[in-house]
Amino acid sequence: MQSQPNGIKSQIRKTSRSNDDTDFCCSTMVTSPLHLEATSVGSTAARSLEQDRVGQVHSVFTRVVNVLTSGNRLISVVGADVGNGPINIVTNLPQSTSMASIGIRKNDEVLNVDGSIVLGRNVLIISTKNAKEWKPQRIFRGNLLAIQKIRDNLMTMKEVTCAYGCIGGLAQLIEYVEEGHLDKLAGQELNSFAQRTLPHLSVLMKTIRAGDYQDIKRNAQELVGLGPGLTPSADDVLLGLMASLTLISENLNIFEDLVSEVNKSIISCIQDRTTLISQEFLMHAAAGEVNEPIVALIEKALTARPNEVEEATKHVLAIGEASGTDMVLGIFLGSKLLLDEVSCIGKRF
Amino acid sequence: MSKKENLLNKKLKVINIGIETFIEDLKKQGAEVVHVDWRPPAGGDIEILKLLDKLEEGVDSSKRNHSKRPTKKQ
Amino acid sequence: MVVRVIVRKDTYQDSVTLMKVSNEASRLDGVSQAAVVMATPTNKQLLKDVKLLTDEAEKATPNDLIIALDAQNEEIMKGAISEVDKILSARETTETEEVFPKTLDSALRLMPDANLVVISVPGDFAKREALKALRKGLHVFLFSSNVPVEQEMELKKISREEGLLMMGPDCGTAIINNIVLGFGNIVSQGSIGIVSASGTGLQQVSTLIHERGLGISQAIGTGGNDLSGTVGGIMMIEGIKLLEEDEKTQAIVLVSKPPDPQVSEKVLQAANRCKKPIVINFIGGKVDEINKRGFVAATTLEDGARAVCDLLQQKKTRKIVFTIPKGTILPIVKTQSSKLSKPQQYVRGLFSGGTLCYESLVILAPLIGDVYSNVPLKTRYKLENVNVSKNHTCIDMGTEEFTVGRPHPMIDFTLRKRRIIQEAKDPETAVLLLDVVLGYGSHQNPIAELVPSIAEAKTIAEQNGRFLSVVASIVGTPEDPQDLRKQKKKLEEAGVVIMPSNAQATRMTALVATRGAIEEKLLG
Repeated sequence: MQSQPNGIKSQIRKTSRSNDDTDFCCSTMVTSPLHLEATSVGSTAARSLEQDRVGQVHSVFTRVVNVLTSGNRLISVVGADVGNGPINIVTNLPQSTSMASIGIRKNDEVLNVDGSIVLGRNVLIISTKNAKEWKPQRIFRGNLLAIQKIRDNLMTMKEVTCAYGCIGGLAQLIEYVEEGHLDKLAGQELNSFAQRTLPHLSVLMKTIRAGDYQDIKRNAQELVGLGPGLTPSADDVLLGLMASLTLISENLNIFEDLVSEVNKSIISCIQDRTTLISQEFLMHAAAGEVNEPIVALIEKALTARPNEVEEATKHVLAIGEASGTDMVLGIFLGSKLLLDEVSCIGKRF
Repeated sequence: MSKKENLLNKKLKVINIGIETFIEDLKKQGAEVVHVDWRPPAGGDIEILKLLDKLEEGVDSSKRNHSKRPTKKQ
Repeated sequence: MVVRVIVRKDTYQDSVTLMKVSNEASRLDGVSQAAVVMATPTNKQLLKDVKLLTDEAEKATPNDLIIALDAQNEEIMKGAISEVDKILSARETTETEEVFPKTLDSALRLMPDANLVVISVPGDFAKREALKALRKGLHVFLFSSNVPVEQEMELKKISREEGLLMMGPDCGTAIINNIVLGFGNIVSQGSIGIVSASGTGLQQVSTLIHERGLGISQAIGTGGNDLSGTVGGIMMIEGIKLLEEDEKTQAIVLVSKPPDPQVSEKVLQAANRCKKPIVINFIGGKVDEINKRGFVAATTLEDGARAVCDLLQQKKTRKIVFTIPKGTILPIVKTQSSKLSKPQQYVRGLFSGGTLCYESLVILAPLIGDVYSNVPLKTRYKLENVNVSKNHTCIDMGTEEFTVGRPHPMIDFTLRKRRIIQEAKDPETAVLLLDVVLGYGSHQNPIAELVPSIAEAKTIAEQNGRFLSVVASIVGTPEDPQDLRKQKKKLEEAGVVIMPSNAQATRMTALVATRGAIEEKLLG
């Protein structure tokens, strides 16, 4: 008896499709659905699973399938490497398997049947019986470090990003970001997106410091949707910014109302100005709900040793192509801003 | 044994029919790979397939009877 | 200056692809600008500012993709557009387009000098595809399973006639020209050839050869049913001939479970005719009988690897019990077993590699008695319910009952983790025996899955006044993608006893479960 992976061979089957699809194999083909198990379900995703009809497949990528829910929101079925997040349903999809090869197609129906999520007609069945609900963790574990140590961690974050990040997009700005130096970059070698973004980003940070909500909205509007990527570059920066502002202000009990208003101002202008996926992420970020690796980085920056910050930074950098790097820029900006404010006020930890 | 000669100790030039997972690993190791996006023939209908096979076999064997063996791939 | 803007409605491509399109297009000679962005208001404004916005693009919405190109002339533009199309359609996951050839024939037009076809289509269609390949003079690696043996025999008869390799059906591993086909480990090139009817058997043998500092010339997989009565060992015999002719091969090892006598005889005769030194590694086979016929034989995979290495280096070979000194083994046994509570009696083996499970069953029988299994040596010891262990039990978790519609245990640990916890809760479980198989095709990071479960399992035992011993072996080499050293380190930190081979891990397990009572039997 050959001791080889027969199970994978059971995965070799093509989609059973309706007879409307003349290009595809017909439904008499023997197909068995792929069974996966969900290990965790984000709190937002969990709500969408309460109805019988969850929605339809919006887009299919290697490790992610996005589902457009009946409420016109998005939730994502992902592989474990993508990690936990408010809209994520994390499954045990083998690392070497691509969601795209399973046979799920855009617009396939997604239903909730007997404790399982069913995608398409007999294509993918995800059991949620053993799944734990994942709530974004908001409270930092561990003790807050002294300000100087936090500054050192932010420097580590910056160095790691310069070394390992995808600096092609906006993130090249991180190399030069020191106090108030954003303006001075005007003469540097920046790509056209960074050039475009720079003044708005610079002004945005100023208006946030000033608490000028109308101006914040105006500047955010110039940034939302800007840049390459399925989640546009500037959006990822805003995501990192809002997440760090929110989580840090909550944990330090400083400027909570201000941050809340800032986030609201930014969010108020995203409708129809960017992709659905990015919209979904930004809305959650404004509420302090982001994927696990991002929370981890913000937390580590304030409570952990430099080597942990390095690891955590690398995890965020690994997100998407340039997305992660842009997010780190946002986290860096948000963290620095609050840190500076705190130093000004002379608040002690 | 000239056919075996064209494989062993030569560059691997692979045609992959079926799972895509193999493609990347093969390429990483230096093989050239062409992937076939395979669909079941005859719409997956096994009965029709059997008929097709019979037809093809008939053609094949008459071909073989009328000519030399197919040229060996070098 | 020619500007063309392509709008793809409602299109979602991952950022890797978008960046690739943008980079490739910009790099083309004569293309001055290439922008690939989603049609958000801000992006459209940007494009407008650099004069890359057309009316059609203006109308696009944020969920549409814009590819804007600025080229020197119409011809360059055409080239750029086709380049963009090529990349996008290759990655389009929401629609299928005619990018990959759909048949072998069209693939051959793209690669007329192809020499190998790797086939992994459903069993019903496998013979057809394999036959087509053979008729085109191509060697075949047939991963597909559930192919009737009669069809396998037909295929192999034809391949034999044509002088071609038919590796499979049901062949998951081979190494040709130092390239792993299917599953397998990165091993050195060298002069030892392997012909194997077992995938994980091939993996264990090749990795141990690598560890010894020697290397593999070619490792031919024959598929699991090659040595059945119907097929009669065709591929194994052809494999022997092929390795005999291969200049680089200087010694050969055959790996399989013991075939039935008729087929065994055919294989031995072929081995007899072979002018190169050859080791017969029938796992659990009748070594003495084979030795009497003048062959070097081995009954465990480790002995097989060692024997062929010794043969190559013209050293005298002997069977291995442990490669670690007795003075180190015994204290480990003592530490592990002294903490066991009285009711803890049994070995529970959970395997991802079927042959490794088989090997363990073979080794355990004379040491601790018959072992229950879903694939037992004796039918009497077949588990009534494969999900519930009984007495000593070893489970091959790669069989149909565990894998229909699920990923295989080598790449997905869900079921095995659950079973680990289940065994931990059983008060009679003394030792867990595990195999961890690395290499191409296997899970990227087994420790991420196993360590937490093992920790949980040990805690459960502890909380109930017990000690759960865990013994494992890792099949892999330092060159494998999974970082062997790290895997070993983390497992050891989690309290797992790592042994150099599955055979040794099995013996260690028996020692621990019997609290060292079989020491004399084993170590003398």
